[in-house]
Amino acid sequence: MDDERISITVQVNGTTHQIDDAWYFDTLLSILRYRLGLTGTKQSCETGSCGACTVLLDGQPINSCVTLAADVQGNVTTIEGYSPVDGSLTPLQEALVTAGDVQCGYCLPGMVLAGSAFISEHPNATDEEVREGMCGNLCRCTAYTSLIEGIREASKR
Amino acid sequence: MTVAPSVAGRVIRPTSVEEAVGALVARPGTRVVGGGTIVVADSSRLIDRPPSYLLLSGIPGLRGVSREGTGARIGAQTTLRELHEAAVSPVLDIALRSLATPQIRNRATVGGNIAQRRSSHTLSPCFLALDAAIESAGPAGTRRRSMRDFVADGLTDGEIVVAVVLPARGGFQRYTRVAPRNGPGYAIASVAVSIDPTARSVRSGMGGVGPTALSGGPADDFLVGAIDWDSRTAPDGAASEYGRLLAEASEPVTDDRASAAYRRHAIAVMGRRLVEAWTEEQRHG
Repeated sequence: MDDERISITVQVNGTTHQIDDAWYFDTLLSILRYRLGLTGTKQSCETGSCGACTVLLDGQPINSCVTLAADVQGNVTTIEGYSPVDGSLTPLQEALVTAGDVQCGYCLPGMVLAGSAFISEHPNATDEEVREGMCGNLCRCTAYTSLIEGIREASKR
Repeated sequence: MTVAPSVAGRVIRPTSVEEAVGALVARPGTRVVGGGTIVVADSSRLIDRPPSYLLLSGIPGLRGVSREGTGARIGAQTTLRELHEAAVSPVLDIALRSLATPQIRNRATVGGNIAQRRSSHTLSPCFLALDAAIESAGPAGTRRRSMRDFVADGLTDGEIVVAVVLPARGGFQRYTRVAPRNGPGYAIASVAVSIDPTARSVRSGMGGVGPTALSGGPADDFLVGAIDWDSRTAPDGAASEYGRLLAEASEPVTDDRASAAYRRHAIAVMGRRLVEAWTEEQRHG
């Protein structure tokens, strides 16, 4: 039915986009990936459990898969917007590479964005704080030890 | 295609509680969206694809925690993160750290956690233990009732949760649960308790062991009578008896996550340990 299509305005990485033929039930994740082509945000569990779809909304991590696109107020930061445009790595990304956390990579965009919000609130984080603060991101490669090390080291910088 | 008419059709974003109630009455089947973490997951899994959504995010005044006298008033649109940061009660502090993930807590709301009265959700047992009152608004107007009445009767068609009101409550407050792991995931069974020596009052709530959260009922009455409030001690066997009575008041079912017998046993053990923890705290301060 025609009225299942709605017009949605979202601000992503500082740019305002209008999508005129979105579904009324579209998630933020589906808009990012399939309307805006920002495929760095990963689609996985679609129930808000795994964290692969994590983006920042005004700096706070949320699961884009359980967020209605029509209910997004504020600026969304995806991994494309977070990463330096010249292709270099942020100190957090460097720390995760150094720790050996980068394996298949599927969880990493979500890990990096959740981690960036975490370290901004937890300077010099303990391992316990990292475990609790990063509990919203799962890694099927089970690179958790290196994740904790990488986030912990990045929180010192 | 313009924004306003289409948004008014399938996605409704009212700016007042009255407008929200009016829209819900006019559009039966409309699903209310607090943060969306439950309803959007249900939609993606095709469990529930409602004809329209009503977003509460545009209503000013529904979000935030304010001190009300010696208690607190929690707006329904307060996020779980905001409730945690407001530090209004020790039991909520413990419970919220175990509730889902930082990502979910940034988005999910207090109203959304209690509105559907799902048994395994975290906040209802806590609000029972805190003797909370629920304010709601519907076609018949605004009403305030006890959390006990709310978990029993829920919302009528077109009614939304407006606020949770916590009375002042001191003393020991604790939340505990069994879950598949010590991280995110719904509780298989949970107990929240508040033992207030000034008011000489015990209130408990249980999750995961009935069609909704359940209050402690006879177990609370037993413990109020068993505790020597002057010396702040409980006699031998009181902790076990409290746990046994909690388990007796529970109505667990067997499902894919745990058996009814396991849940009942877990409630008895958690109840006993909570009273033992209170006793220990009285001894050592």
